[in-house]
Amino acid sequence: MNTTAIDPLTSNPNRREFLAATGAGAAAVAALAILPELGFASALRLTDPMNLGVIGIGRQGRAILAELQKIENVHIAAICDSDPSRLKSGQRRAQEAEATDDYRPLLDRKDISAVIVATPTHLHNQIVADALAAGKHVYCEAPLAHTIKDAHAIAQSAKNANNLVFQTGMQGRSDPVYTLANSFKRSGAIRDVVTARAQYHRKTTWRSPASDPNHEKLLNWKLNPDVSLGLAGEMGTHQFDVLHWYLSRYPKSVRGTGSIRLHSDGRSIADTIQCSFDYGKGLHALYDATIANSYEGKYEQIVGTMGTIKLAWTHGWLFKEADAHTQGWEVYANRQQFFNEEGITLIADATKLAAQGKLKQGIGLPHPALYYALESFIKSIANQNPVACSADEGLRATVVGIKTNEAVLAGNEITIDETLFKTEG
Amino acid sequence: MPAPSPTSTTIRSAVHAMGTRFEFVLHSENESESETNLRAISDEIIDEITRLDHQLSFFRNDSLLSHINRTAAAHPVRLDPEIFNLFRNALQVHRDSQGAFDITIAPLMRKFGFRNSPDKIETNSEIVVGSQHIILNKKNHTIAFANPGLAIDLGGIAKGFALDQAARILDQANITCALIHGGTSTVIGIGAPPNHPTGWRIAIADHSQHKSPTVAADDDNQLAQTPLTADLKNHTALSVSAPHGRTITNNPNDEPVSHILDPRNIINSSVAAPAANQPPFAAVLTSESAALADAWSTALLVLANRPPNLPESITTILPNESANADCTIYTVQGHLRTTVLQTA
Repeated sequence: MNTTAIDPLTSNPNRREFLAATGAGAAAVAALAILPELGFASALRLTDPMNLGVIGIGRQGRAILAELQKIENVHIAAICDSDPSRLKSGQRRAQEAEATDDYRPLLDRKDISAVIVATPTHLHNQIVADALAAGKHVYCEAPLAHTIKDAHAIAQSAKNANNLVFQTGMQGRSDPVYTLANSFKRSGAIRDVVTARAQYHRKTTWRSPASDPNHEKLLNWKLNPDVSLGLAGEMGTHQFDVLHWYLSRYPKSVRGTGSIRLHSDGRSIADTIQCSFDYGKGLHALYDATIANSYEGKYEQIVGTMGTIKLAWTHGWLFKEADAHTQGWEVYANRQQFFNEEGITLIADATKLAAQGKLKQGIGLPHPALYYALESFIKSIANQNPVACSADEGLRATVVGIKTNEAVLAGNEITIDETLFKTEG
Repeated sequence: MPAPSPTSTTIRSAVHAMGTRFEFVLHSENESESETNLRAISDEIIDEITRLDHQLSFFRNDSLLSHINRTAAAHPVRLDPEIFNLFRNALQVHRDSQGAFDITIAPLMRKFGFRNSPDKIETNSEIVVGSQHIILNKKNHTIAFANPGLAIDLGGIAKGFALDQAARILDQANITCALIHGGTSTVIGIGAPPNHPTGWRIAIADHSQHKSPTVAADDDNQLAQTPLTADLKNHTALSVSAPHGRTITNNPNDEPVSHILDPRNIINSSVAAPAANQPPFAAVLTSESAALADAWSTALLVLANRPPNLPESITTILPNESANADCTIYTVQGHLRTTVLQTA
């Protein structure tokens, strides 16, 4: 595996050591190891097969199937969705998988060691609880839940099942560009944080066609105010977590506004929101999300006194202030022009790649962020690597997502009680 | 465009993908079909085309195709059945066209400057082109390269494939009247617009203007001046290839190089764009499959004649000689260059 080639923070060769699992846990994971790396940008290969189940075959579920397919010796043994057409589209992609409309038969299978939960948010809690009770490692998409109560229940279940891996599907923490950029930030590349800003822009309706009226409400759960956390929760949570990670802080309060700027089709969920966070000690951040416009897509920006880090999932850049020091590695760096700004592209192993004449091949990650999140989950199971994004971090970002949605709905400032960030046990 | 009727709904939408712009017209005569639902259906096809762009793009480092290009020489790469079939079809056209269509053309495209300039450009002797070096394992649904120099570029088939996938989504959503195109060079007509029962009228632009091959179907005046038209209905795909569609001039003194390259000839592979005083040429054809139409339109341009193995599903009909003389039969060096037009 190639983690060492692109991830300077975790480039400890000991990670590649063969780690035999004790076999004491309920999980059906025996000794698994990771093959030696094949060179830059290859995908993970396990020495021993691992069977996975995927619950929820919507857009995210299908993207998960595509990324899992890249990992050798990972088998999608079962898929599950209550919507027949989604289940069918999953079957086309994972032909050897057992397909069911209920997730329980999947959990009963002893040969399946881990499940990925990609259902609508409000269904996570019960599925996660049942999966952990059945001894499965769990990767749960973010946000963890649509209520504070459910989010706490999930974090508590994960804590109780301490022999099992639980990973929250927030991709920033396993993204090699984000890990690299954070190591730069921690080494002082932008000096002191001035502010932060993130956006999610995409032009889409968020609506699924209602070919079957019986499934319409479930399919369009994101537009149902009873269960949807809107843009703040469904999209923001992932990005709020990036801010938490980079700033090492959680907001004390959030202000929000939301409105419908394009999709006047009877929905009540805002298609455009603006939020501002107060992290205390004068540190504030802005978030802006819309599904009415796609300009500049999705990114996070950490603005410091000596430079700005811009993170766009498969890409990252450092924009330096004129009075910032020059670092040795900048000699090898690629630069990209953004109108009047010049960004240094953040590539891991730039010196090594430059020596091999492969510098340009390193621009932009070789896999989507989702791949690295799933890869790190599988490595946590197989090699007992630390979990990239724990249930506790999932809980904190989910709480912030829920509170931000409340602020958007209220059009007002909401205080976030820090006791909400902790599980009881 | 379909004529508006009191109960009908028409929407247009578009997305940037695969280095071009895809555009969709969805029409419903069904009173219960709301614009909201049509928009949701159009979102489904936009999502699908975006997904396929992310999977099949030669330009994205994180695409499945780039993953294949990096690793398939070292070990087989698993594919889902849909993508596996795309490769199977591409290899079939490669065989049937005697190598005139070849997805392993990437090193040649690089050499001629049609792709991101790499850190290193291979010399002619290092360039490997040849789909025979691709190994597809039907049982395991894997792809592998028998030669490490191989690199795949799906530019000649991916747009059509994406449109086929989009058409399937429209079918599942019971859309019976739609026009969808990718970059105006490949188009699928579904059903027929209510005011034009013979099908969606597609105009193939006047090549003497050296415009890109185009599809523009709703302006009657424009249509009247257009020498080539085709009516598409009932899921017919049409694809146009022309060497003047995109050219590159690497050196100010050089002749422009066409993006249509002959994969069988590594040294002189550019299918020359016609000089200003020469009649231009293009390949236009229809098929049930947009992927096949897309691939064959390139192959026919390279072959310059109809090969014996052209599948029956591909229709190439000569343009009506009584139509505008600028556009009847274009010949270059005595070869028939323009093929095709299907009448409804």
